[in-house]
Amino acid sequence: MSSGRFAVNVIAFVVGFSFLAIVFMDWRSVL
Amino acid sequence: MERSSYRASMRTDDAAVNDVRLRDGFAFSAAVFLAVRILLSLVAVLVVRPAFPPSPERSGLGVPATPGLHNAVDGTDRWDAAWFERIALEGYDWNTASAAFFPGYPIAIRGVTTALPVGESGAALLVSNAAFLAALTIMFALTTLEFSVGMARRAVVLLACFPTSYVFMAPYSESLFLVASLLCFWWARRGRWAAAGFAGFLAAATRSLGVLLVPALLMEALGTDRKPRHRAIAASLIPCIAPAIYALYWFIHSGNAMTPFEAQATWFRTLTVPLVTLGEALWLAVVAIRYPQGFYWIIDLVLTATLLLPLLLRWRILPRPYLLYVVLGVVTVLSFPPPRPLFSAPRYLMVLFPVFWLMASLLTRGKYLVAIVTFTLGFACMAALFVNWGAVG
Repeated sequence: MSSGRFAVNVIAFVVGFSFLAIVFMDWRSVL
Repeated sequence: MERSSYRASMRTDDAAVNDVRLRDGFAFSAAVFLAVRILLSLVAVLVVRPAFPPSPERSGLGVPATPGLHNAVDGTDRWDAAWFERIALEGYDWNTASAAFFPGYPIAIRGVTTALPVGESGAALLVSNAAFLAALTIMFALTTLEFSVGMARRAVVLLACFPTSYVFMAPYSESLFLVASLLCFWWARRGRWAAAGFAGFLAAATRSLGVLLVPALLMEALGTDRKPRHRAIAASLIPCIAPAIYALYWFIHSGNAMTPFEAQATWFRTLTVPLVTLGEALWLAVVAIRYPQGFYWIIDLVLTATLLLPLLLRWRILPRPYLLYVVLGVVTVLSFPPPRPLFSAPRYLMVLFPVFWLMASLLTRGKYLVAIVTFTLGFACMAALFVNWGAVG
């Protein structure tokens, strides 16, 4: 796997899961 | 809780709920539609490079991607678009794999080609874009009816710029299904049962998920205080007729009424427990960084989670018929995964429009702005992949 492809995967992983954590992870609303 | 008091408890502004009209949100919805339509056309013109349809494209009508201004209009003519256009042109004779594509959208394409001097591709684009504009307008009105004008604005924007929403403006059946399912609820919640049944019929003729409107309509009909209730119950069953007619067509055509449903297997979809689908997708996203195709696994999971997390966190605020519809839709989509477990799942799930109410209600002002900016960037990236025959959407 090329380093470019690896970098794209890392960016997608970090941005994607950071977005979910920042926007939706307000667990107070579950309670 | 009665509906009126439920609505009153959910409302955050002073607009008169009972005076909601379909046309009220048209100007706002049209502006939002125009913005995403221009963005999609711009992306398509700027990023399309020469590319041939990849081998998994099996319709035989997939056209190579070529750079140029024409992509502003036809840049999204990729993947399933060729199946719909070919069915509109030739019917279902040529390939039983085509049976997985329900006839509502191809019939609409054929109707436009009969009435206007455009080809199948142009007709498909006309149907999809007009249906999406109508869907946004009805989404605005229905959200105002159930919640508030403020919520309607947020929900419409979130729906329009969700990263896979470019599909609503592509030659795909999602926008026609969305407008039909929205109309179904719009009329059912206002007690116009014959119209609701007809809209449900159109939805069920367009996508297999449409039949899931029946339990939701039945729940609404059983809870109605309008007389006579038996008419509401009868109207709730009308959407069942569409898949029955389609199955009958295949029975006459090929001797097997189950062909549309068995065709899922030719698309490598098999029955699976939904939690297993989610577990496999989660595992793939965790290990994805080490694999060349890992980008797609991550995106599949993030977009699916973006739609499912609001449901998990805020399901309590949904009126029960909507909740039943969404839960049945999610379970159905996750029960028939392909080998890449969440491939196309965001596209299938985003037509379950109440999730955007939950999303809108969940996001505070700051988070809403973060979501809109991220969605818009995601929309541009996903559209850029799609118009270059990328395996997204």
